[in-house]
Amino acid sequence: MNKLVGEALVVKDLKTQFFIYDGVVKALEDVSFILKKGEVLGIVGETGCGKSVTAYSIMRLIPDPPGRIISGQIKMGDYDLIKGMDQEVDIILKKRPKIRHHNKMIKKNEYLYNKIRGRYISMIFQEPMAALNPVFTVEDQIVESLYLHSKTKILRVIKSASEHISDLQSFKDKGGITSELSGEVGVELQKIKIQKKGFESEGKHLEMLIDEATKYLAKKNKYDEMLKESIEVDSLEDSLFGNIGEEERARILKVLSKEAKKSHLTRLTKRLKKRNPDPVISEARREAFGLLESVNIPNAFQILKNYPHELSGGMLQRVVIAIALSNDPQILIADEPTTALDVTIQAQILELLRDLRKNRGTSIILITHDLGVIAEMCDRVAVMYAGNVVETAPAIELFHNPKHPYTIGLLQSIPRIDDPTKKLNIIRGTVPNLIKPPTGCRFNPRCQFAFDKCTVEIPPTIETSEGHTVACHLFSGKEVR
Amino acid sequence: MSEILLKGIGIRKYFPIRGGVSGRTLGYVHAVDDVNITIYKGETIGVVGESGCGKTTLGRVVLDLIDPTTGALFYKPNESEMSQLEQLYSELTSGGARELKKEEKKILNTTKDNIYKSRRKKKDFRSRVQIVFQDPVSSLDPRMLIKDVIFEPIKINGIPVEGEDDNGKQKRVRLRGDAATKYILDIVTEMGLNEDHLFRFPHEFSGGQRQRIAIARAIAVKPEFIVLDEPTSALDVSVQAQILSLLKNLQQKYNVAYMFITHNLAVIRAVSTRVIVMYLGKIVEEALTDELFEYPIHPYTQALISAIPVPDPNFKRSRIVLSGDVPSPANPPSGCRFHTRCRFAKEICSTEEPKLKEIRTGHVVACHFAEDILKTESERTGIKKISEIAI
Repeated sequence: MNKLVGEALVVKDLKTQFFIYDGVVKALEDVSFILKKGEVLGIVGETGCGKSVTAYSIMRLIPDPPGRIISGQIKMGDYDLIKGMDQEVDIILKKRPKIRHHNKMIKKNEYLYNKIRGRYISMIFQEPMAALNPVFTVEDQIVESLYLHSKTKILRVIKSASEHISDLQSFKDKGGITSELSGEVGVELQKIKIQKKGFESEGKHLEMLIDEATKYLAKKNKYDEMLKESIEVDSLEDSLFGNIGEEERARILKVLSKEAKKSHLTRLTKRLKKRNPDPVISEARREAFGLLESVNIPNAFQILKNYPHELSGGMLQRVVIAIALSNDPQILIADEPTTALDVTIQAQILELLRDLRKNRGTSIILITHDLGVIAEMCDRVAVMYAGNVVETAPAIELFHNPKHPYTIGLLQSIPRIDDPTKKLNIIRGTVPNLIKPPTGCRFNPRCQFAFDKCTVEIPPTIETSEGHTVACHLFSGKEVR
Repeated sequence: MSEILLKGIGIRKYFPIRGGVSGRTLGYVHAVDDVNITIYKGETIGVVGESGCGKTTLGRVVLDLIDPTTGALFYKPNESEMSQLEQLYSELTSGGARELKKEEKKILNTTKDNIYKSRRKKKDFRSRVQIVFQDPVSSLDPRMLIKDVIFEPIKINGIPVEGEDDNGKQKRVRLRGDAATKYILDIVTEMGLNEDHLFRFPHEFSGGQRQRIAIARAIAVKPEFIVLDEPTSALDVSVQAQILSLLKNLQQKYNVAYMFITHNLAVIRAVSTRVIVMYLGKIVEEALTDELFEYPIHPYTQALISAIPVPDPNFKRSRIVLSGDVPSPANPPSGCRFHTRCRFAKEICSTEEPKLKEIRTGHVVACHFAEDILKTESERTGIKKISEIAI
């Protein structure tokens, strides 16, 4: 399997603008970068340089109005996330040309993207407190994500478990359950016991399992149908992001747009409210417990029943990470995941992210303004300034051989704990207003090397050595000062 | 060392937790618990710790912005008197008991120079000290022009001139009219702002500029001591560098002492001369900056230093990751407060509270195993400097 070869995400000439009363904020101007499979890409820059807007553009979370993605490509595999969406809208419009109602349009439009968000690309936000809903328990919020995206997986688990439980049923009929169960059934029982850990007291839980299984068996046909249906949808969606022809893609989109009519969320809330939730939910709850343990939360069973305000910042961030990882996404976008946390907690969270990447091979985009975090975590780094990517390079190369004047200034302005004698260098001035950005290179008013050409011409992106690109006139070859 | 500017002895601040219908006190948050602090003239003392360790509360109590539960604060005290009082206090508290003894309270409350108890001293003291807050957005009045923001402290306190009056108070003049305008303009240009900025409102400025205004307001009355409560936490690194160098220049010019409160150890290393490390309301380690970063002894300090990400991918080191969160200060662990997360913790740690001991010259640590850690550490790293000094 060449899972870790190739590109997970390609962003090309992305342009996002905000249309506000004062004018047009040109937040992103031709942002391009590549995320390789299994790597950690760091995006670094000052406040207002467009780091978060990039992340939000990839997730299609830019509030519209006032924001809009003007042009550009965001490619996941072969599939263009922006163009693909537009195609879908076209299909819907062709079918029902009278749809003009904005909200309805957005709903249809977003259906496919809801499938991508959380399942293929998920995101960790800066403020864990704001990322979670204060009126639901931690458990409900993890279950929601699992239910919306991993139904197939859950249904499969139920199926296999219930088969073994029905074996147990016959055991019981034959004369009660003995503690020594041998063979496959015994092994499976152990597995279920581990899964169920903490949910019921030892003595009771077998009985309850059997009860549940009996209930499930009664509805067996229904769940079989659900499984079949959800496998179909899943495989359709998966094939959408592979190499298929245009016609085939259009056909799949047609089928999937029918799916959009069914609102999974309303179904879910109804089910969560029920006193005796159906096996899908209870299985998702078990899964949630396992997820919390995998992000090193002690006493996970209690934490599940807690509300967000009852947990500390570090714990909440772990919960948010658990939700982001619940569906094994290919790409994880971490937007300043440790900025709100203390250093000792930050060390814990970074350790966790490192483990997750090692174990699952997820590609991570790590957005931060802390160059220390970048140095510790990332394979490659993209430096952003005022809506442009000014430099991309492998992490070691960037820290030892920075090219762009802004990168150099940034690196010299950090107080170093390992080298206190180093004098802090200052980049004079402030970040420009993006409604009226400076002409030419956007860094020119603050750059100490600026010359005539900088104020006139936008610098091209030049590859100085392998994998190291710079957007600066100093390196365009001819006119070196 | 130079003259003592401020001395705090036995400072405690307990915030009551109220609850129930009648609002009775259910317990106390031990924000600052029995802290002795000395601030010398013209130095920068760094206070570092995780959120909730009481560093901000300490800063405010030292400025007399909030009343402490107990404690005494002295401004430019007589040194011999101080050492006597300190001796007496340490004898009283040597039992290690949590509860405050009567005599102890008496000593702290009745000392005549205690700023917390003397109204006259308070007023003089407050005109000599200033504070810069963390959030420059909420610390400036949105309805005041910048000129008014900076003029307000001058209007109230005046600016100091040479000499003292009969009561040992500082002589101050109140500036008016053109003199005031010129003075404010001087201050503002020094901060890297210009005349236009004086007639704007705070919301028209960026974070870095706002922080400059807050610093200008503090420095306007020429104080001898400024508490900087996380002044750069809300700023970008490039702006942070600007502010730090500004603060350094001001210190050289006015010979003002800083208390630099932050959670960022790298900043502490860049600016301060002495460092206090706090954990759950207690000082766990205190030393000169270079000394602390080269030979951290308390396990908490070691973990804290090893947790800072260094902006250099080739920088390799062994990393100590602390497990768990900071315990609640409303119900701090018994004995050593750090024992729940400490990798060296033994039985004694959970029963007996360690006292601050001087391990090396000027290096004070509160840990039962400080000597052992220093020994093993010096063996492991083979630093000659440590072995040369007799323990």
